[in-house]
Amino acid sequence: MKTLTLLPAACLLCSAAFGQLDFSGEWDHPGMFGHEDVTDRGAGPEIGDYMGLPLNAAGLRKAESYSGSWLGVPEHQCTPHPAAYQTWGPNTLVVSKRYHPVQRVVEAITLDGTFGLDRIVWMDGRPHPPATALHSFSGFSTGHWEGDTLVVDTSHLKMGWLRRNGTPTSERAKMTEYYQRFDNYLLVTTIVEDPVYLSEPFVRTTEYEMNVRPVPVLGYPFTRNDGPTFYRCFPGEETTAEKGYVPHFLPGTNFLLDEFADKYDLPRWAMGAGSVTMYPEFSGALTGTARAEAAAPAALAPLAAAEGLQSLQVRDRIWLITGAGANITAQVGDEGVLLVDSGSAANAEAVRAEIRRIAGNKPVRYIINTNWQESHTGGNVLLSDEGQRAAILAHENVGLRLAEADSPASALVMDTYYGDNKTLYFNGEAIEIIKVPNAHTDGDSLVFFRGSDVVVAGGVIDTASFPRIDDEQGGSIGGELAALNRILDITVAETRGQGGTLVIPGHGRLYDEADVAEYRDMVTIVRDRVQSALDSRSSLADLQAGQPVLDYAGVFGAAGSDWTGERFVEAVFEQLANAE
Amino acid sequence: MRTSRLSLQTLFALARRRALPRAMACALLALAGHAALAQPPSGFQPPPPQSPREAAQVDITGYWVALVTEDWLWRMVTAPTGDVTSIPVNPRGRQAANQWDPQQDVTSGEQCRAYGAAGLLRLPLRLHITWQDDNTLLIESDAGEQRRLLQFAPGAAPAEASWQGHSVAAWTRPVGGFDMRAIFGDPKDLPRGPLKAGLKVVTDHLRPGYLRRNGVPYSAETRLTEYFSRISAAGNDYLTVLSVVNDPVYLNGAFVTSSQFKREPDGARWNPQPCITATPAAPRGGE
Repeated sequence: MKTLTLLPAACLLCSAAFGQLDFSGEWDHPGMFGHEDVTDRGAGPEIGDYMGLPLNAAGLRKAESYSGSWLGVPEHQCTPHPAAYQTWGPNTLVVSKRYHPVQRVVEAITLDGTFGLDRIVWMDGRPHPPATALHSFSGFSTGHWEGDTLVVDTSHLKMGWLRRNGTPTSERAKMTEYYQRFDNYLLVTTIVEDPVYLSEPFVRTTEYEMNVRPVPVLGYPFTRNDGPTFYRCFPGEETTAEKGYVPHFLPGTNFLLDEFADKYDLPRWAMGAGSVTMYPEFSGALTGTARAEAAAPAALAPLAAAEGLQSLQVRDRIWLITGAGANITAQVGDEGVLLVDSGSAANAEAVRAEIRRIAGNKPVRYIINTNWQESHTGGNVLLSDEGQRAAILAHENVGLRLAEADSPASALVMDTYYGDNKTLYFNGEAIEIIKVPNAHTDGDSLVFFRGSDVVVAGGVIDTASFPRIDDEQGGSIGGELAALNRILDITVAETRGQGGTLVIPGHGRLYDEADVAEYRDMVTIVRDRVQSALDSRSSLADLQAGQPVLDYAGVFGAAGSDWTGERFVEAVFEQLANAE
Repeated sequence: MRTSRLSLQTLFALARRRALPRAMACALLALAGHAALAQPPSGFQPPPPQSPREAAQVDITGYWVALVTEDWLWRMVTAPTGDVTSIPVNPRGRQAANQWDPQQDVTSGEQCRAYGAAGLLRLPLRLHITWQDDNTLLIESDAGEQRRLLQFAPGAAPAEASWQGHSVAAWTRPVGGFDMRAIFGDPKDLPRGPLKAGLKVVTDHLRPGYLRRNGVPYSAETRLTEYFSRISAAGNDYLTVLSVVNDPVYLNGAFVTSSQFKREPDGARWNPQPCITATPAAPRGGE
């Protein structure tokens, strides 16, 4: 009995003497929006307010091309605040601990906020996913303690923003956050490093105060004290714009920048000055004669650089095998293995071993080729040889191109199709092979696994490269855009514009609808810039001098690639010029 | 009190091995702590007391440059008169802000009103932080050439208010350094590395000044609470300062901001400038 009496008293003493190391609970920004940049965080910042951001020239170009109407595009309507902005938004923060069901240790800390911005910070020491894994607007976060500070490392971010005016962060951004509690305040220091769009780390501090209000003070979406809200969002027809329309400003045409400069009495050049605007001396420079320009972006290696042969389970029976040439998709089930593309011949043995590891002794029954190129078809010969030779399916132009190239794969019997699509049912799900004419080549196919809800995009998408519009092989910019929009017709996002239908590209990392939409936007915007140059009778040299892919080269113009941004622009220029 | 001779580590170890009932361990721990505080055992030689400088677990000395990534339009340029965006001023504060007369500040020799402690760290500036002595941190600013003394062993408050006021400093572990999981939980759950102290500073005896250059006021009744901390990340050292301004005269509630600074290797960019009264911008179109 004495023990029972002592227990609460003693524990109270412990707590009083030492407090507890815990951020759990509900936190609000002081005054709802905080006491910094209220107009930015409430109604939103103005186009042109790039001040105090360490944007490089690529980041500024991307920001200047941004149109607020972009959020009216169906695929972008439900886009949430990305992780680099989430704490700055008008959100509450609910911090909770998640315990391992068996070990009863904290395996994760969840950070939930208004607008359904739920983040999981894994505390169990797990590694970050491979570079080929899906990205999200919240990214993948792991945490650890440094003394009293919770340090959160986040990778696998989608394209996002620092402010709600198009100031970008790329999918290569990494974010580190420091959560520190001081009395009843929580200070979150966010540091974003982005080699694509930033010339220096971006540092922002955000403060919260413990929520002690007894009742909800505001309704949706600024709910207080009733926990995270269920945020529902359906894309709707908000404009009469034609399908595939991507709002943006051509370089040099964004009149809103001049309006911003006029309103705040700033010299126009200041908006293009980049990181120097963060430092005290810039205050004096505003009235001086010196000018500053943002730093040029650095050349970057591909994000999903060769990491050797790897496999990633995409869905229950769908696997992505990378590092063997083009991406290989393996559908594994009771009836055997179906491959979409087979990689290069040089990697075929290794791929076969990987398939054995994934699928055991189940034979390869089908190979579907999304185009004819060696990186997609080189493994056909070996991987189709499973005793009973696997059936090889492709658009008929694939067979013709293989024959023209005298490829070893051309010796194999192929089941070709020439209509709009071909279907089969295998391993318990319908599979649709969809022709997308004259995109990357003239023999491109998409493959849609209906049950698994996975689309294989083949050569239409290379996540580390501008699309290879192979004019000589029948590819075209118009066909490429039509193919991308066709994919977007199929995909359905799970929530907040992301997740749901997954898209396996021909090369690079796993995509979803939001990623495909960004890729489509990029191709559309570059097409529009080239068309604008043609309309004004500019030469290709003049066009290239204006760096029309400056804002995308860091993501899609990997250093060392033979398909540079300049070559892509040249291909588009020639096609559009020939079409006139 | 024989329990006071048990080391805390021994108690923890016994508890983890279930050699003692958990409740008893907790009770003993509390009693041991109290006993130890009340009367040290005979023969016990307490270590010599550390000075605040020796006890510092976070080194915030050095040259620091402000990173103005927030409130840029109100910090890097002087906003129009009456622009109180983001600040929870009450009607009296708004009225005072509307009536700001920069010329009056010049005439009365009060050009340093925007450089007082409650507004200083929001200005675009550099800081130089040093130990003036073992009990006092000195913060100097190049803009306005201000000197703040953060006193760990403060004497009596000065009779006269000043721009930088009277600052009482204390190392603080931001909500505790002890975790009950040390007894009941898995050691893996515990924080790694040394417990980091922050620096809490409470300042009063302030001369009335401005929260921003455009004359948004704070009064002599203002109390400023600040929390200094340091972070090493991305190859840089950063100083963060969470500031809470309470002013019953001009504010509706606490005005809470946080500012960040990046360490500079030396004072090569140190640029001392006297206080100036800035000219406010013209009213911003569309507002």
